[in-house]
Amino acid sequence: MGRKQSTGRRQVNRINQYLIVVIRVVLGSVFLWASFEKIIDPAKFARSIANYHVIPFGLENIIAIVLPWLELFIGSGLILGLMVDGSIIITSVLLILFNLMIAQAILRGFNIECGCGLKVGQLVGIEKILENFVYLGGAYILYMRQMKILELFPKTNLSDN
Amino acid sequence: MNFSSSLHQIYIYFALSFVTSFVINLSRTDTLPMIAEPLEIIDDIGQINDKISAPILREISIDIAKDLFDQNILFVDARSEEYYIEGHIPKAVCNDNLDSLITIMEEYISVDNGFVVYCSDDDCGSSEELAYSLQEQGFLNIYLFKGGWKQWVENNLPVEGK
Repeated sequence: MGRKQSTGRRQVNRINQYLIVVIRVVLGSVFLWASFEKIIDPAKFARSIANYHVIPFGLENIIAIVLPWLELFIGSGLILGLMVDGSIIITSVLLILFNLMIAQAILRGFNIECGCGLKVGQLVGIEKILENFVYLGGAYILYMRQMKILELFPKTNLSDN
Repeated sequence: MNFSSSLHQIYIYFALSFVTSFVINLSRTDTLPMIAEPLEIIDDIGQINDKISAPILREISIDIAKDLFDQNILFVDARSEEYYIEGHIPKAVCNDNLDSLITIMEEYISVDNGFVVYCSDDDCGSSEELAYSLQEQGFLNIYLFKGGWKQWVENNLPVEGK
């Protein structure tokens, strides 16, 4: 595991460190942008979640209340360089969950709006899954970074963790 | 608290999100309940004639939808126009543009008249979405036919289109 991680980190280290900052800002902006519409209209977001038919007991409301703020905070964290490791892990888990939700909707033949908050009226589809995989790739590169560039908090070097 | 620990950072993000979202939600004029409440279901045609003073969205079954169709209540097709052209409930109206749709609807009804919204089937979601959008535009009495086009056709009810 340790060998795999160090190989991964070496590969990522070859990437220009400032490119890592760019990936961080782009990924952060995606999450930040996605959160706005959901924060403004959580009821609409709750209905989008309900349309996936996977959330039981009316829990779509509590997800619709909390998730957009989580997206806002991790998006801001990535852009500003605040607790980046935590934001990357949450980002990755969310992207995997989003893809699972979309995949089951496609498999069950649901022709529903994605509710992703990026494009109005975007329907679930394979394009959205691929898009999320691109973001996941970005998150992987960030997770494997060796140096902290323009990260405000915490200042500890990754090697010290 | 070790801020360099990824796990602690995750806790902080979740704590921040829960606290902020709950506070903001409670301070909103349109506070969203923590648990979603299902729509009221109309199971008796007698409930249809209720006087409506506040906006209400209620779910109807295929039987009630058929009764309302027989009473010449307006049907609004929430599917995209290409599906509407292929086939729709007779006299239903449809438009991809919300403003244009409202203009068309106002030729038939006023805001306090009841009407039915439907889409493809129980899984499509666009009928509920359109119903809420129309409610925001001032329409008061909306019936949501979740069975939609699929259930209508399966019951061999009249259709119009290609």
